[in-house]
Amino acid sequence: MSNKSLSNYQTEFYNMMVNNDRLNVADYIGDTFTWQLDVYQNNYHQCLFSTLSKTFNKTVIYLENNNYDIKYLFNRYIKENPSTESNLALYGARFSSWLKSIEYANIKIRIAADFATLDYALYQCYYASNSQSFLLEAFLALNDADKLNAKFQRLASISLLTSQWDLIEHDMVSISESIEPLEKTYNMLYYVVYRELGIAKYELISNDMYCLLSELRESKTLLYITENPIYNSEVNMPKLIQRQWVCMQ
Amino acid sequence: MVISGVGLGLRSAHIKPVLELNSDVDWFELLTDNWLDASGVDGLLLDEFCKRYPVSLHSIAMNIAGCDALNNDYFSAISRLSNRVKSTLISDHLCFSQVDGKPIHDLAPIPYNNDTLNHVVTRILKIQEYLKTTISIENITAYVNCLGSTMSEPAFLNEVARQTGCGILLDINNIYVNSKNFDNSALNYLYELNPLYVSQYHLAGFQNQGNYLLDAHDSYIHDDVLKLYEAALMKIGIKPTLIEWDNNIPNYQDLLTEYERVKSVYQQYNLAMHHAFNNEVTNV
Repeated sequence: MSNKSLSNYQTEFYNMMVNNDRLNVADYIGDTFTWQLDVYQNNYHQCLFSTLSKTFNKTVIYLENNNYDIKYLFNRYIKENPSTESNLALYGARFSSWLKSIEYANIKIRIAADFATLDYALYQCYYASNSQSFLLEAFLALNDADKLNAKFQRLASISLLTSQWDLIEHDMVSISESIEPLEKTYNMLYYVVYRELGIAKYELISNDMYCLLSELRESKTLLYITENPIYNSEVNMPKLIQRQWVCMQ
Repeated sequence: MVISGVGLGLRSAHIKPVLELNSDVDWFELLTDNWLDASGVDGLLLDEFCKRYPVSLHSIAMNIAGCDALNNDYFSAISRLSNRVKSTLISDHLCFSQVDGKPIHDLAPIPYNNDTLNHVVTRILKIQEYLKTTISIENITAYVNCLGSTMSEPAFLNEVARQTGCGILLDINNIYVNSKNFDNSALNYLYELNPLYVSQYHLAGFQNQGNYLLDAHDSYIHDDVLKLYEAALMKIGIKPTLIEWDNNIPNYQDLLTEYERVKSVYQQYNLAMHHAFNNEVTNV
């Protein structure tokens, strides 16, 4: 088997595993029993299924409490979204937007989609790289001009999301397995996902804190932050420092 | 730290019990892909763990026999991890695991012939150059046979090791499962291998599906696999041995029971080898 034919064989093997195309691979492996190819297809599917189950646990609880067949949804997602990353922790990045796009995306599915965004952010937060936290002493040692030019950036473990629903309330309802989900909508609620003592958490934040943290995705000087009233920096910067959500560049 | 004796595949659920018990295990194997650039609590635990135990690194995504370009970012990350945990052994599988940039999250078989041999040898040499160390390659469980094969798996492994200097990580459970599924002789497999190239053994449990065996890593090591391991210790020699348990993960105490079972076999042969060696020296 030449390199070209080795490459063709591997393509056909992939098509068998992922797309259930069993015909062409037979040229390279001969006749097989059904179980022989089933093993590979099951391994691939099971690997992605268990990744989704691990990542989207709040979403699963919410959907199951609302009588949705989560297995069906995961199976369909896997079929429509083959894995593209060898790092399994990244699988499911599109699950939230996929949920919103399915043909019967009613209000419960849309709430589930926001939970999926939250679950994915919590999962990524847990594995995010460590950044050096803000060192107050180092900042205080600077002169006034240097303080204004000091650059701040939010930690890699911090992420943001918005929802029209009170996810914290829904989360608590889901855990208590109430059958009466709250569907009160808001103009917009703002959430931050962060890591504290190794645990990924989330909480509601104000609109101006959301804007400030969004801006601090890239490093910004204190002067830039304080000059823009939208960030309410007098209130929010001390909070960010106290919560250790920013570092100084 | 040098790897010797019997080790355990480290799973997240067991990190805290291992550290709390200050467990008396010779070494641990880390699944490389789970620990690349580990940070947060996992990173802190990893650093603490590696201060106490020797570790080896076992990968699943080098794509050794694949046709995609080798992923240098991946090898850089392995290098960083290896330096961080001071690993003395890096391994992956004789298989392909990615096609056109898309992962299959599994280990797929290749035909054993001269073309594939040249392809695999070239890639391993590049990987070893990149990592600045030799690696070991593991025999996989295969559920299909490739039509283009012209040599046996052990002959192929011998030749890869001879041409690249890499080691062979011999998975005894995989040999057993393949031998049952394809009606081959597991012992002949062992006899065909060149003992000089074998760097390590893997042991694991399989699932009996009725008409075939599944390499599931979800149960105790089958007695027949342990017998085959003994045959390997006799024929090939004493090598660092690892127990893998990836699914239906037991509590740590149960895993230690399995560890002791393997350790007693390992020690029995280790002692016998020492006695044989001493007798030989005395007779000289």
